[in-house]
Amino acid sequence: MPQADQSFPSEWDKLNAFADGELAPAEQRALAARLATSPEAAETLRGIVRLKQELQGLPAGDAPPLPSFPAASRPVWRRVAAIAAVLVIAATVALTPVLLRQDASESFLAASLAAHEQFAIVPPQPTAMVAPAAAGPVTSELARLGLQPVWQATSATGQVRVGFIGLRGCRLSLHVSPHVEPPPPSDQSARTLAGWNAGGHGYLLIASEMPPARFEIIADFLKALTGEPADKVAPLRTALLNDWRSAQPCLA
Amino acid sequence: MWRDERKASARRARLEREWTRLFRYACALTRDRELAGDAAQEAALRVLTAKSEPADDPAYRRWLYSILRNLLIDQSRLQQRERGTPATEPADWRFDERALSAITVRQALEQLPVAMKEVVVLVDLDGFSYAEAAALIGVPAGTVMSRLSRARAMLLSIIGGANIRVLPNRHAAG
Repeated sequence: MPQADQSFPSEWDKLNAFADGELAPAEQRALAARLATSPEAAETLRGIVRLKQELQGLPAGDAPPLPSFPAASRPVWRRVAAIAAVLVIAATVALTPVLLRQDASESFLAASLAAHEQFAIVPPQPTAMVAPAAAGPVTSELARLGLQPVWQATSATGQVRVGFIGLRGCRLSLHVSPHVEPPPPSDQSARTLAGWNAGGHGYLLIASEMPPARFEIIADFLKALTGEPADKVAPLRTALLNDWRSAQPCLA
Repeated sequence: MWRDERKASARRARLEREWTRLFRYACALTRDRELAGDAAQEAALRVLTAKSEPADDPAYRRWLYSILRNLLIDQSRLQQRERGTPATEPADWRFDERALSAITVRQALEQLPVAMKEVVVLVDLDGFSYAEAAALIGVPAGTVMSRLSRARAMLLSIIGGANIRVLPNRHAAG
């Protein structure tokens, strides 16, 4: 009977490779000749093949469902959204002189809040989407918590926005500016809003009706994720996951 | 926009075809269904949100498995499992020592070290060639060959197959 820790004869390796069709033609011919004259080797080969067949016949088990990304048909809201987008573009063109008078950082904050309000009031249904690269790692981490990206937008100035919906009804949106931004004013704190800079980007995280303690943990984690080395992120990730498992549903 | 939706739908269908096998591979690497489920789902998310994916199926499968494997390595789960989790205690599989049944094979597979189990899953269960498995794991093809033959010897040892044994040490003819 084979032992796991013994050094193995080369013929055993070759018989296995023969069973897998992985031997070079010359070696294959040589081994085939030996198999023809050695009942012992032939019996061993039959055993290997039988084991392979048993392994191939193993049931795969119950896999969890794929992440929720129903695609296919275009829902009504997307048609409405397309029309709304045209109207927004038209309005933006008309209001450009007004917008240009605003401070750039205020624009980022204001535009992000407005986009979040829109997202929170009329939450779209989950749909297939490609998360923008700027939000890629964040998207993966939030998906681990069951927060799926369901909405995204990129402005003409390069601001990226991604909206997430959680299994417990949470609505969260992340806004990334291509530039460093000043922190949001303190009077915005009631909105469960956090702003920070990392890697030359400005970030705004906004949630609706989320318990502040939970929001704070998520915001701290995302700040670390976007700005800290990986080894500092891991403990925060564990803390966040532990907190999330016992978290109450969002109020929304 | 319509084209994007069709494309997303096709990508999802393609991933669904590999999903069960991908999950099984995750189970082999983590030995924990919950961790495996988390990792496979995160890998799926990365796959579905990737900018592009390989067109031909063999390359697609290698890409898929690589994403999952790299993800587990990044999270150090693989190493932690290797260090911290003792091998599963075998159930009473000796009810019929000669029966090479699915139950005994599955239980024996669970007892293999992760590195051995990984090559068995990749080659025997998922049909990767030695070269493909080697590229995926990041070792020479010869290592896959020897690791696989050791794994099978260990499986047979655990199963106790009376009629199957390793031949005595000898160099192959030629």
